[in-house]
Order: sequence, then structure tokens, then C-alpha cells
Amino acid sequence: MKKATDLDIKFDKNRSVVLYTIRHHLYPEEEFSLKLFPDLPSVLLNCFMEVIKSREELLEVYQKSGDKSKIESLTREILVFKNLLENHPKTVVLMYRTSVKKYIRYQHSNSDEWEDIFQEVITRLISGKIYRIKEKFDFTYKYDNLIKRSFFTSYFMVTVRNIYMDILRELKVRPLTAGEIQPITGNDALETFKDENMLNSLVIDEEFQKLQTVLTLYHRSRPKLDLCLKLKCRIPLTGEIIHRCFPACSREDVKILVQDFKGVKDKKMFDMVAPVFNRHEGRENKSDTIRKWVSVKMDEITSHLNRTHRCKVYTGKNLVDFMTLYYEHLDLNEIKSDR
Amino acid sequence: MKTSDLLKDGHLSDQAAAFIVDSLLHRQALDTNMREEVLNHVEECKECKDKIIDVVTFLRNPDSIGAAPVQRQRKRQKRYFYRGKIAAVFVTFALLLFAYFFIYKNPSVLDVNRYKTDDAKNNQLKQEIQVKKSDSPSGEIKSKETKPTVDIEPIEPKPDEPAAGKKKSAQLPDPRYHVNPNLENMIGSHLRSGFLEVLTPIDNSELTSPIHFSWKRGFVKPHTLKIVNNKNNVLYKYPVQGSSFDFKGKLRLGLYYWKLENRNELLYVGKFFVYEATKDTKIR
Repeated sequence: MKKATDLDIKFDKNRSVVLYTIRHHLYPEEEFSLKLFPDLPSVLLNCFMEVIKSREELLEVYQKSGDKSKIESLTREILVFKNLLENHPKTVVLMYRTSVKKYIRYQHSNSDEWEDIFQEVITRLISGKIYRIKEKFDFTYKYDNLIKRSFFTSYFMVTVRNIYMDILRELKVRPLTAGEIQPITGNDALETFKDENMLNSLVIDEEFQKLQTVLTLYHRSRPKLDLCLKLKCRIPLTGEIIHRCFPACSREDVKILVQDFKGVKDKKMFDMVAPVFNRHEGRENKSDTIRKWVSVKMDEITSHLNRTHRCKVYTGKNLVDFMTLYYEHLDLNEIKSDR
Repeated sequence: MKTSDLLKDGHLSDQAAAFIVDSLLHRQALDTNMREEVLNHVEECKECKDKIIDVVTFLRNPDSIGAAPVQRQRKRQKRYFYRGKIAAVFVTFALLLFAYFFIYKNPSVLDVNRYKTDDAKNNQLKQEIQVKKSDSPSGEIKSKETKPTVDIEPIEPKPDEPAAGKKKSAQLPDPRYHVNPNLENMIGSHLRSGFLEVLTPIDNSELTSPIHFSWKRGFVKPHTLKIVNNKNNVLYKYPVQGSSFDFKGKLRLGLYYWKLENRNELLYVGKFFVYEATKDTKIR
């Protein structure tokens, strides 16, 4: 009787060591949040126990050892991500099951098809895709302090998105483009906003983050984009913004760009600033060319932002207001960080 | 890592997309160590941007409500659109072909007069008649049906032909020259016992007075020679014997038939014409 009790105690102790190792060393919550991996400890524990039970020597160690470090070492050996992906790829799929479910629900929220699509994605992952991921994922690749564990999550979710888009194509279903999504109107807005989660999702900070993500992707033209968008929103320009776009900008040109354009129409404003752009870009563009370029970029940004909502939240008009808020928020944060 | 591993089929590879996603999630910025080609592609490619934004937005807020709704594609529209266009082209082409052949076969469709009213036509006809009356010396209309006159250059007169310049209008044959169908059927020998060989005149010949009638076998008994007009009216009647007879009577211009008869039967019917009588005209 005593022996059985001792074994049980050891078993429970070792179990908690395993769980602790999983949660604090191998898969910390900062990188594997509860939101995306709520059942991660249980999935990994099950995997661990299956491996232990399949090999007698390991089972003996697990059952009889009182050394915490040995159990921890055993846990690391079996459950470290690289080995997990190599030896137990299906467990990795189970690990990400909730993330996949939430992603499909997020993308396919307006239809009852999402459960079927989710099952199909999981099936495709388990039956073949996870093995391809295993082959392709480069654990040795170093990318300037990249956190590899979270990098796999990004990589895995990109793959899940690809599978989801393939299924949509096979079902002849497509996400509506910004032009087809219905805008929010009076009564519709009330209905739409009844859901508390919907209200939460429109918190301004999240929207700022989205806009920042979109603008960041315009890597090469970002300085010019920031300059033109600020001109469009009639936000006063600073020397820093101007020099970021035109490093060799003269005082006269800076004077032209920093003037107050409030109350001035777009056409007239671009007529006044076009020569500055032409001087520094070495072109002979008309003001209409620059104005159209800005208009095209704004349409693209509107389209990208509206993709993240169920209805057409952004239009050409309110985007200017939103951008004004964004740049003011950005300037405020820069001031705070300088302090 | 090679560029070929980062760009695949003209778009970002999953690994490159994951790099950018991770960089945005943890640093809110693109890693400048990333290859220029990758960053340039991301800037230009809407599809790759959408992929990155989708994953980044979700991973930042996994519990947010949702992205753009989806709908079934209407694939058939494109097909019907092009089918309709092709059908329209064919129909237009068929109509043009039909119109072309219709006009080709019925050129009168383009004739303006065809579409004139009866009153308009009558007025036009009256005008034409007035013009012809003023042209004609007798004032008579020679023919109702006149061919449209064409201005032609005067032709050199051929010998023995009427002088050039006179415009010949089509005329109906003179009633005196109308054939008699009954007599036409009787032309030739009717002798029961044999063939009566007539030497002169040859049928359908043009004769002038005097006319010499002759046949091969002479008659012993007297026979009768009759000359009738084309209405079968007997104009002259002579008793004949032997194998010839000279007619010296007068005949107007026209078509005549002649008959040889005995007491009981008709032996022969012949046919000749009388045209302008001249002194030089020979009896055939």
C-alpha cells in the first residue's frame, strides 16, 4: 500500500514537473498565448505520456526517479519543438488546433460552412501538409535575433491560410473585395454593433496597428507616402519628414512644403508642391500625376483595411479623418518616447 | 537563403511571408536585412500584402470578430457574356449576307419608281405622252411601250440600209401579214393519189405581180386556182389547165395563200408574200 502511494506521489510530482517545463521553459505563455494555445499543456502532456509508455526504460525513469532535473531533461528531449515536429508532427497539428479553428472562424465568420472548412483544413494538415512543413521549415536559418518558436507559428498560420484559400477556390467561394462589401448605414450599424465583441474589435488602437502594418509594407515608398498623406490630410510637415523623403531638400523647398495648406484645394496644393517633387526625383511630372498617385495609394490602403472588417468601414472620405488621427497619435507617441 | 527560396511562382514563399509576419508582430517594422527583391515585391503585390495583413491581424487579435464576408462566385456570367457577343456577331453577319443576296437577286428593290404612287406614275406617263406628241409629225403615238432612249453617236450608214439617224421603234406586225392558223396547217400537197409537186412559187417567198404559178404534172381536165388573203377571203379565182398559170392581177402588200382545186377536192395550198413592188423584183 505504501509503495503504491509513493509511486502515485512521484507520478503526480513528475507530472507537475513536466507541465512546469512545458509552460515555463519550452513553450512560454509570451510566445504561446492562452488565446491561441489554451489546451497546449494537455496536448503535450498526452504526447509525453504516450512516448513514455511506449518505451519501458523511459517509463521506469519517469515512475521511479525523484530527480527533478532528470524529468525535466526527459521532458525537453521528448517535447522540444524540433523533436516534436520531427517525431510527432500530428501532435503539432493538435497543438495548433485551436489557433486554426479561430482563424477559420475569423475568416469565414458569416457562413455556416466554417466548421466543415475547419475539419477539412485539419484533415489536410494531418494527412500530408504537416510533413511538408516539417521538410521545408529551416531550423538552422538565423534571421537577426528572430525568435524561432514564434516564427514557426507565423509560418504555420501562413500555410493554414494557403490551405484555406485553396479550399475556397475549390468551393468557388471568394472573399468579397472592398468594392463589394456593404457600407455601414444607420440601422445596419445598430444591428452590427449589438454584439459587444464587434464594438471591442473597433477599438481605435487596433485600427492604428492595422494601418501601421499596411503602411509598413510600402517599404520603398514609405517616406514619400508619409509626406503625401500628411499633405493630403493637411497635417503640418516637419523638417524630419521632409528630409526623410528628400535628403537634399533646400531651404526654399522646405519653405514650400511646410506652408499651411488648410483651406487650399488639393489641385492647387499639388500644383504648388509638384516642382519640389520634380526637382528631387529628376522628373517632369504634372501635379495631376502626384495627385493620382496619392489617390491610388489611398484606395489601396482603404481596400486593405476593409478586408479586416465584415463591412465597408473605410471610405475615401473617412480615411482622411482616420489618418489625421493616426498621425497625431504617432506624433504624440514620439513626443512621449523622446521624453 | 537564396532569393529563389524567398520568391516562388512570382509571389512570396511561405517562409518569406512568415519572416515578414513575424517581423511585424514583434518589431512593428520590416527587417531591413531582408532582401531588396522581397521588400520590393511586397510593395507592389496586393496578393502578398493581403496574405501578410490577414495573418498579422489575426495573430495580434485572435478573438476579433472577423474579416470580409465571403460569397459564392458567379462563374457562368463570363461565359454567357462571351456567348452573347459571339452570337450577336454571327447574327449581324448573317443579316448582312441576306441583305446582300436579296438586293443582288432583286435589283428593282433599289428602283425609286417602284415606290411611287399610282397618281405619281400617271402624271409621269402623261408628261411622256405630251413629249412624244410634240415629237411625232402625225401627232399619233406610235407605241405605248417605248424603250428608254439612249443618246448614241450617229452610226455610218450601211449600204442598202435606211439612213442613219432614224430611230426605229419596235412595231407590231401589220394585220395584213398575220398568218392564218387554219391555212397554215393546210400548206402543202393534199392529193390523195399522190404528191402534187409545185414548182413555183416557193412557199413564203416574196413576190410581185405578175406571179408565175407552175407545177410538175399538167392537168388534163380544168382545175381551179384561187388566191385568198390571210383571212381566207377569195380574191381571185381562175380556171387552170396544163402545168402553169401567170397571174397578172393586182395585190396589195400582205400575206396571201393560193389553192389548187379540182371539182371535188382541194389539191394544194401555198403561201406567199407581196411586198413593195418594184420593176426589178424577180418572181421566185
